[in-house]
Amino acid sequence: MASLLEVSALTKRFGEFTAVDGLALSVESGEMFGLLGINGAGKTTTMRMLMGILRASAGSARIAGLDCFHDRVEVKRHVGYLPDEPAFQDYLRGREIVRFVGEMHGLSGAEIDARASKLVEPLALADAMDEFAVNYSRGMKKKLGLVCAMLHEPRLLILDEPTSGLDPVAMRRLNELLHAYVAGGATVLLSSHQLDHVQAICERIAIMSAGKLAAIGTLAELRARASAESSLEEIFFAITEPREPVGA
Amino acid sequence: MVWLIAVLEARRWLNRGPFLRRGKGKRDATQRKGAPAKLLLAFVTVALSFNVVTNASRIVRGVAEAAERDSAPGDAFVSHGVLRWLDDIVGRGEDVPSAYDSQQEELEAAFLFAGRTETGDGSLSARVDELRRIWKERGRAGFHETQIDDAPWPTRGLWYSGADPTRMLAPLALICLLLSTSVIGLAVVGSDRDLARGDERLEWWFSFPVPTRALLLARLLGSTLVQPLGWLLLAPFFLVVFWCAGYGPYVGALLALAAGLYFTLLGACLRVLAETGLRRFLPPRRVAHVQAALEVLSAVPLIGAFATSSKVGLDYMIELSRALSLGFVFNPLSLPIAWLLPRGALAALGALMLLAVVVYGTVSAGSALLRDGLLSASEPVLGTRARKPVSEGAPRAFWRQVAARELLAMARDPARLARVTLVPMVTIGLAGLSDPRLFRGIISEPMHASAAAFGVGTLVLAGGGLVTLANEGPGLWMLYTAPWSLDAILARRAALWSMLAGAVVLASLIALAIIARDIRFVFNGYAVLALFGVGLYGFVSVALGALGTDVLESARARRVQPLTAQVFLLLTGMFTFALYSPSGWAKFAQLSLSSLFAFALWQKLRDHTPYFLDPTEAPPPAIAVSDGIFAALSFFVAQGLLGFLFMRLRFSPGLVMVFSFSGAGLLVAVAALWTLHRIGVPRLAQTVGLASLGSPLRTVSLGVLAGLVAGAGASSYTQLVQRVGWLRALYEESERIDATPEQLRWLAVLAVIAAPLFEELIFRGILYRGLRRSLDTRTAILASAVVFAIVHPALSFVPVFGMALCAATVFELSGSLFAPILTHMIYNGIVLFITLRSWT
Repeated sequence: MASLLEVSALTKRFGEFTAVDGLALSVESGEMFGLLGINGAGKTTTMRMLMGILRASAGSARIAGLDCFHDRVEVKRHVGYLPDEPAFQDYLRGREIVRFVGEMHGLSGAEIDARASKLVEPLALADAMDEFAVNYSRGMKKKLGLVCAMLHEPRLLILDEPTSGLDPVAMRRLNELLHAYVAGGATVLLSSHQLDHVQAICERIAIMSAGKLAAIGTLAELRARASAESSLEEIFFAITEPREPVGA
Repeated sequence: MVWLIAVLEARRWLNRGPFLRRGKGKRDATQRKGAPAKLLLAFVTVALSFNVVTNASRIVRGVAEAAERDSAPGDAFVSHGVLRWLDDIVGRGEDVPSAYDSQQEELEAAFLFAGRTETGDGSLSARVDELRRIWKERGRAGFHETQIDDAPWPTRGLWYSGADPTRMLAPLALICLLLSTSVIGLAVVGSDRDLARGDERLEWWFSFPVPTRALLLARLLGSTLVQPLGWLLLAPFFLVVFWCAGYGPYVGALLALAAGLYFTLLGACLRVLAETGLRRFLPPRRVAHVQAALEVLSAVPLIGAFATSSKVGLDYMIELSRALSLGFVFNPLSLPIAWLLPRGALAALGALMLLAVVVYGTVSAGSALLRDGLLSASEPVLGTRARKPVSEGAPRAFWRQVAARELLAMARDPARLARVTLVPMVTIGLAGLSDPRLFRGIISEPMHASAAAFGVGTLVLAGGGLVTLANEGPGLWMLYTAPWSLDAILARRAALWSMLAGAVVLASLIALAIIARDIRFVFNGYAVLALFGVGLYGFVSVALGALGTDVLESARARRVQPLTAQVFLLLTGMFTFALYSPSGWAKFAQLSLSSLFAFALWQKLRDHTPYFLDPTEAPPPAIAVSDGIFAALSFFVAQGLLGFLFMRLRFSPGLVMVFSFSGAGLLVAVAALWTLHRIGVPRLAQTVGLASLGSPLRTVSLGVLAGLVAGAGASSYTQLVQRVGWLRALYEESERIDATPEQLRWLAVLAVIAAPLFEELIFRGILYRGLRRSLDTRTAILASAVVFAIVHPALSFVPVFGMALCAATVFELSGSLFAPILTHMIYNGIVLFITLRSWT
């Protein structure tokens, strides 16, 4: 059976600058997959291509066998997306935004309320749902975006730096939510700069550098490239800054 | 420091236009898709300044003429030529009353000429009557030579320096007051930011080690430099005024710059006070309300000022100014006009002192307001309100949800709500007030009423549908996560705006019917046409607005290309032609072309929606309906131009006809194919049907068969024309070509060879292919045939429509353009034969 997410030779150029360069990776159903890389490594561009927001300059990306750009409408039924900086339209309350997202996915009002409360309660967002979303803090916007992404219970969750701006309590709740979600058979692809967080929850990890895939594998497989005892942080530095010897 | 920040502000503003951008970015990574219309924007800027100069010249001239008339009430001021005309009549030695009887024709001509040379749109017959009366009552003594030039440009001769300066200055001061109020008002509110949300840059500047006063001063300077309306509207206006008043172009320009600086600095002061003060004393929600109210209020004097470009509006303004004393000129909002008084230097000094006081006051008040620092950014922008939990109900239809969200977002945004509801009403109301005859005209006939109602509807669309995508702003990504294509969502929004605008049109018609006490204002063909029009233009507005929107632009007011609204209003103006066009046929043609145009826009929108958030990718090149429209239009224009050229070269009429037609056809065919090839349309030759004959036997037999069928149709139609009364009348009305045998030969060449070649390439090869890309075969054939038939005379609509159906069908079946060319050749040959036989 084919992987849920299949990326091959994926390339995105902006003029003369190549943001993603021949990326190839696949993510299986039920995986928690981490995408790492320094700023400008091409993580966000990759995720935006998976969402059909950007068109790949070359190569292909397929989710559940569907082309991410050409079948972009159908792909959205299987995918939930949290952008790096979720922004919301002015003059709409949190509850109204969630309602809108749910109804766009064809859910009934009752279903939306039931599913939203299961997400809103653990994220401690319930009190803010009647507030206008533009007044939200950065972390609250992330939480609201997360609720929107998970509402239609997609097979694949694409989360761009879900932890940035979250407080430690919310981060723990997020981990619990994601674990439960993956345990239910769904798949998560997330990018992050918090290496310990990725180390704690992801089964497989890909490290991108200058648009290319620098390393991929489980933590153990990655350790094989450095030393057996090294943390993900040490591996990360070893791969992204190869001139600096590990542990030096 | 102050200078640095001001320069940064100006640089930021200049960087918005690439043609003004200085230097080049090091990394080209974010080079964006080609943004059209930037050069056009520069052109519009120049055109606007030019327009202000000519309009201001007209205003000065109108004011001067009124002042001159006031110097001798009851008399007439006419040009030198007219006066000599009158002197000539008197010089023939007759007394005045009898001269009127004997020289009536000549006098009437003189009066008519005199009336016509006066500016504008006042009633000519009323003016002629007045001149006649003056002649009868006072004779030659009642006529004086005017001292005012009739130049459309600023000159010294446009000024009247009679005894009382109030006569010139008071009306100008009044117009200046209107202009400056709106410019200052819009400087305060009509910026690219929400006042309530404050300016994030101010927060950044506060991180520098600079005293608050210096920051505020820098902000003042920056806002002064960046006030396009102030510099484009007020400065040219004052240039004309000072120039005409005798300062000449150079000193005039300096004084105009000073006047512009005076007002833009005043506007900047108020802006800074509003930024700091309003947010301190009012909750942000209220600030948003204040901003919306000020925006509408600032538009009112601007419309008033624009109304003075018509003679009626200017006369009204001059009439109003009669009640004013000279002291009015000294009001701060017209003060530069006072510089023209004999002791103008004192007024200039006064202006300088006032500015110093206002700037000092602003900086002091600003720093007092900011003594506790900037308001924290986490202050809620919008109020909160406890809400009942959302009731559980049946799932709402997708499109109702889209509509609900759009309406909810609009209802909560005071500025947007005002733009959609108040601005149309205020605009129409003011137009009615500034010229009461306009309003009487509207309720005189259902046709005018429907046109006015359509106008109100389009203003609603301009404030709503046109900006629907722009209002989405940074939240647009959410629409890309839904399992719906963006164009499907936009189509529902377009339907919503069509319905809203339709409701507004209906309400306007009902209101007009009540005023006119005539229910027929609501129930007539024109009303139906107006409703259909707003329905169509609802879609045009959304498509045009979306295509003219740069969704990646962060500032809300800059997301829509500045020209989009003007283009939209221009297009709606074209539809108004349909309402006023004389015959049902012309209306039908206008409607069909408008619909085709809307379709072409929507096709472009569908092509582009997947790429809106991608800064570099554009849709793959393909033949579009717009290409067909453009080719057809170029074909007609090129024919006219070449015809003119060949006529000047003294070719015989037959040759002119053939050469201009074939030349235009060849030119457009080559240009169109080359352009499509250059943009990279894949398999171009196959698509337009020029690659091969297909199966030659099949292609030829299809073409010949279809040509015979279409020709037989045309033959039966000519029989029908002779029998049916109204068709026969139409036939006899239509022009018969009185052609020489030589011309007939050329006509045959044209009809049988040139026309089929070029028309088939344009209408089948390009337009039909463009339509076929988005429509099923049957609809595309039908649509292309209607378009082809309406560019022909009304009488031949039916047979040409039949021929076009046949041609498109064989094109689709054979895939080769040669089949429809054959069809067209045979059809034209048969029609030519029938026509010639009927003449002999």
